[in-house]
Amino acid sequence: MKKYIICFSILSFLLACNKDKIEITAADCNNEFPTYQDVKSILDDKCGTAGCHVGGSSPASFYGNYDVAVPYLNLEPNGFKNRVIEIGDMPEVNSPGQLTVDEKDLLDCWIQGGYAKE
Amino acid sequence: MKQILILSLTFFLFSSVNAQEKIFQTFKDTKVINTHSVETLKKGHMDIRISHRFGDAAGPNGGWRTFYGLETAVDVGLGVEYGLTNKTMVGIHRTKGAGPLKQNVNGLFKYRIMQQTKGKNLLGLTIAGLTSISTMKKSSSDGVLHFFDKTSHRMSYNLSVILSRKFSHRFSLQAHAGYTYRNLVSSIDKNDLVSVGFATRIQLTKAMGFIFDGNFPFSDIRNSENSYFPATGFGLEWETGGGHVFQMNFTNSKGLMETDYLPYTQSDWGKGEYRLGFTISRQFKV
Repeated sequence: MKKYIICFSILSFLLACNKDKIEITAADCNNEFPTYQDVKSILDDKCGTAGCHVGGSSPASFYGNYDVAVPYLNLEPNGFKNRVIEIGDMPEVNSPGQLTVDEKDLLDCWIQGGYAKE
Repeated sequence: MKQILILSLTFFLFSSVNAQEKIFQTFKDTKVINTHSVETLKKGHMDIRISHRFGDAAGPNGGWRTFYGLETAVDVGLGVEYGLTNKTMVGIHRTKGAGPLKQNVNGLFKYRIMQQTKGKNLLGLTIAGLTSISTMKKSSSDGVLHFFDKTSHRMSYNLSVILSRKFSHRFSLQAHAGYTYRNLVSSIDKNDLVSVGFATRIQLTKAMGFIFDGNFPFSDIRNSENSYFPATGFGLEWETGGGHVFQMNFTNSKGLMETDYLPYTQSDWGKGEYRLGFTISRQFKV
């Protein structure tokens, strides 16, 4: 019995191995960087939804205005980029807000421009 | 002369018995905080485990607003482990998942290669293998880890080699090395990840011990500039009798499984991004 389990474990390990990568290319911003007003609707609708980043007992709030969002972004400048652009686990897959390619590119350019307010 | 002979024979026999005497309970549980301990379950023992990691206790995500993280659950695990022999155990766990891959089913295999004995084996040696499969919904847009172009992209693996020594009934120490492999990573990352770590247990009272563990991945991108930090934790462990172990800890790690916390720990103790966690373990003989 033990031998079967060991063989099965090794086989499943070897057969299911891939060495794949997803290409993450920075958005082409053409030196035009959006401001908070350009991305506000994305942050409000896709991040600041109920149960997510809307304050209360939820993690850092992105809903409302720049002054609410910027303390978290100042504290975690790479964290926002990492979660939204590089790893891409935000917005969470089961949350109501999913980013389109254009929205993701716009956020990427906002990040590249240093989270500009105006 | 006769007395010397009897004494020598007695000493030899006593030494032989000592050389075979196994050292048990280097750690009280099969896991320390985040890390597997050198321990395996006894044959025929089933362990029901419930683990929890709350949200950040302080920092921008913690404080009174989240009641110091207690109103948030970043990872939750439910699992069953079983001892096939005194050296071999298997387990299956469902975890919420704290990294990019969620809703994970984790299969565990653990084998004790060598047990510490008095006199002969100075160290205990165990290997642990883990396979994690994400069952989360596939993303509709590509360029993210959960797009799952192939089914194998849902899978990640960890192999840990654990060396331990129980120095006294009060103090145990272990060192471990890990190899984590993810089938799909972002272009700035590498599929394989090597890590090292250590763990310790200090018995404080008859029933309670202090535990500590730390895990340090070797990776070019995993540094504080990119918001990656070693997964470390400390806590207290109570053996409440009848095969029941309760553990309460503080850790900066969000994920419960090696395939989660080793590649994706991005919480910084210095910014208050640590959390309360607990594990309840209840063993039954079946």
